Amino acid sequence: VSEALEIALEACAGTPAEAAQAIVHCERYGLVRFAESRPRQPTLVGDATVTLCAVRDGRVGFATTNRTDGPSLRALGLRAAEAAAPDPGFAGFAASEPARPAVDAYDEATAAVAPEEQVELAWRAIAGAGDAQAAGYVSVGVSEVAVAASSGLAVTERMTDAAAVVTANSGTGVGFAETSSRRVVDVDPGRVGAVAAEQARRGSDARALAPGRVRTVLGPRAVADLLYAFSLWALGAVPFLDGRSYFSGRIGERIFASAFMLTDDGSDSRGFPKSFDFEGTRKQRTPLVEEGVARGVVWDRRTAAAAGDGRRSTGHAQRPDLRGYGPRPANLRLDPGQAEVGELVDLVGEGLYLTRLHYLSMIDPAGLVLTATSRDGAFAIHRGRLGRAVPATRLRLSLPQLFGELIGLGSELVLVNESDLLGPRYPEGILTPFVGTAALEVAG
Amino acid sequence: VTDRETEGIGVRVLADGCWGFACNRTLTPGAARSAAAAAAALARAGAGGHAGGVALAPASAERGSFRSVGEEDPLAVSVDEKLALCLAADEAMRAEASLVATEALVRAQREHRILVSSDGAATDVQTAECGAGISAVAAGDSGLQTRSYPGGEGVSWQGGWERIRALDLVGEAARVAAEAAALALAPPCPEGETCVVLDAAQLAVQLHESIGHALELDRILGAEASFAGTSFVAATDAGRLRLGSELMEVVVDPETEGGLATAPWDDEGVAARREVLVEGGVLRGFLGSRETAAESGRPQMGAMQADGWNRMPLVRIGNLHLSPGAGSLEDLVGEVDRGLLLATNRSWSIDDRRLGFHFGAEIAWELRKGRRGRVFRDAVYRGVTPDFWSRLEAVAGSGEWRLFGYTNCGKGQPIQRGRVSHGVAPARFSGVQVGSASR
Repeated sequence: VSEALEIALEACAGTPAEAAQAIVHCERYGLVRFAESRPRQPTLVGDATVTLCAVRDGRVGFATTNRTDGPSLRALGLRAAEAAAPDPGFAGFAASEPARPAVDAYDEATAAVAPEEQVELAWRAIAGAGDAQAAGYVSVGVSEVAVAASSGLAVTERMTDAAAVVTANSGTGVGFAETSSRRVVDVDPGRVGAVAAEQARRGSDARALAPGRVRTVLGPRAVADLLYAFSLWALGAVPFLDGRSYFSGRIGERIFASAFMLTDDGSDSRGFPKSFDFEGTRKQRTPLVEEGVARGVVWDRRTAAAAGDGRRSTGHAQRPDLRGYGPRPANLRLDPGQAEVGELVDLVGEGLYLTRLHYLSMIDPAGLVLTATSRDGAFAIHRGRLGRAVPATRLRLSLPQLFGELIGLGSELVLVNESDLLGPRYPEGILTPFVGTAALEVAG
Repeated sequence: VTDRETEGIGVRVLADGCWGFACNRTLTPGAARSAAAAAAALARAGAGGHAGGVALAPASAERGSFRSVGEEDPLAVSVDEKLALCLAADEAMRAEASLVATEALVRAQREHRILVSSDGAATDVQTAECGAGISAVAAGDSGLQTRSYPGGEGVSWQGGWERIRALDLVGEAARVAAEAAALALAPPCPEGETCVVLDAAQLAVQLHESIGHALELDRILGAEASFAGTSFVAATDAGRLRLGSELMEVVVDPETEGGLATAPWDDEGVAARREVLVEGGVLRGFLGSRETAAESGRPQMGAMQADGWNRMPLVRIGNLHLSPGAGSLEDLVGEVDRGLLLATNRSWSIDDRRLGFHFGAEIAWELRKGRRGRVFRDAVYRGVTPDFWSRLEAVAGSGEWRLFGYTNCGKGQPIQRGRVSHGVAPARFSGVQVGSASR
């Protein structure tokens, strides 16, 4: 039994409530930020939080602490009971399940990376950028989530993740590159720095783009950020039940091109796999869009009960501090196609290549329309070849149009890190190919 | 209902010209020493065997304690009373039949932070803050429309629960619900260039995004180049860069009553002081730290904040205000022959140099010959920061000045939530490009 699970069990046992569930979330990581080609903010973070949900007299309350000694855990039980409020939507705690095959979420070598080694990885990223001025970060971390409940539930899982991100400024242009994996051995910071610098050396073109539709190759970061926004606004059960999701009333309808296949799959070891969610429910592989047709959204226990149709949780409950937003996909995968990146550029012919989007903001939730600007890594495509960088440009991004008018999908599946780096460490990523679309709109 | 607590110690070390930061959730002398040793080792590794280049401007050894002012401890108000307020506001909104979702929230927080430094600073800051908000979502043929009060996902203040009582959430609920219902039936905002009056809630976000972040010296000097971005402003622009019309005065004020960043010292122990950053539309100052002061030669002014014990302090916007002008909102509206009144931010996006922006408002009213007319939905407007602020032609007076505190300003890696407050009165801008998000 892991220490995290022991804490969870002790927290459950220490409450005067009729029923209780404890979630323990431990994190230990380094994040070395660099700028102007030198480490600027090397940071080590370690914490363990315990969230207790207590049920008493039909009321439900939550309390969280990062003090894990016995008296503090007993005090947590009292606080959760005192915070209890009427909650007619409460759906009980997950029951104990038979042992399940473990997913491959943890890598010993990654967990063993020392803080000073992380600084060395950052120096390698900087060196990879060569003469270009490098900014970005390297981060390696370990996290563990344990869930125990008075229902007999007791599950725990450790995860590792590593990432390198570099923005390189050559003086004539700016480039961006990144990589992520659950295994540090897969992360080559020097290579990331070199790719960013290679982009930066393409030079830039000061001419602004004319407003209108532009054929575009979207890089994995740009696609993943769009899919992440899509998941927030459309793929969870709360907006679906409220009627606010684009999927509300559209299940079974064609919404995107037939090549578009989107799944949430916690068992996919190419991403950041996970066995269970923050309610301790086993993760289900969940088809969301199949051949362009809306198939469903993801559910937790509360929303599944609220649906009232015998539905069960798909294992997508969020972190306790985010539970008000309802369930959300954490392991999205957009299926790849057949094209090499060069072929996509060729297919676009005349248009844009976007590595990433800046300040993506939903402006029309009903129509799934977002706005953003281009940033570093935005290049013109001319006569089927990548050209010079284009200036920051305001974009209008209609997801039904972008994913409805596909030119092609790349053959390589890339893991893009979507961990929020705000709350406790919890590796999340989206697996996606490059995407060619005919329907990106330059707003001017 | 959620009840959260966290405690710990963070140690920031400058060694060989490089920062290192480590933390420990255990408050014991041994844990503090362990964090300090880890931070020092990290800093030396970061320097990589040669001087890391960080220098600090000298600072006086600030010592003292501070407690925020408030009449009613927000943590002493019972959970039942807080729930009752939310439910009453929710019920009052639900009287409107066309609503499909409603939300009411309240929050309260107490924080105690002690800072000591090897330069002699020793400060003890205890603050209480609270916040609240309601929102209503209505369904119509055009989809769903949201209206909120006092803005977005709630607004917060430092101080006592009397701030929340003064909001009168229940009293405002019917208006919020009715405006959501009206939006659901409203036509989209027309496209074009027109005169625009921004209400205080919208202008607070406009000020934050286009001016506040642009004046952060860490961004300007390149420390945030990979993530948050840089700025169109240079550290050498003070006194010569025009950011707006002559009516534009922007101040940072750590003494603002109710400001979320109100405290005598920042999170590196520097005395925080009021400064005019934009005067008569011309750039005068910046937001910075001891490090940016040493690097840029600009005076330090105490703008560092850390989002808790496990984060390094960063340059933050703090309490940043647009100084009031004269008259009322209705005076501003009364002088418009043809235009729009845009209220309460709905979406925001701005480029990585804080130049080209695109904001959406929850609701727009048509203005014709000095009077409010039809409601429009999905209103957006866009512009380029200095050009937009140069179109500022009137700011309402101090009677319309309101303080909006937000706890969700994201910056840094790991990301930190900055606590900011913006005091603004409604203002009028000429020749703004407007349109509809749903065209």
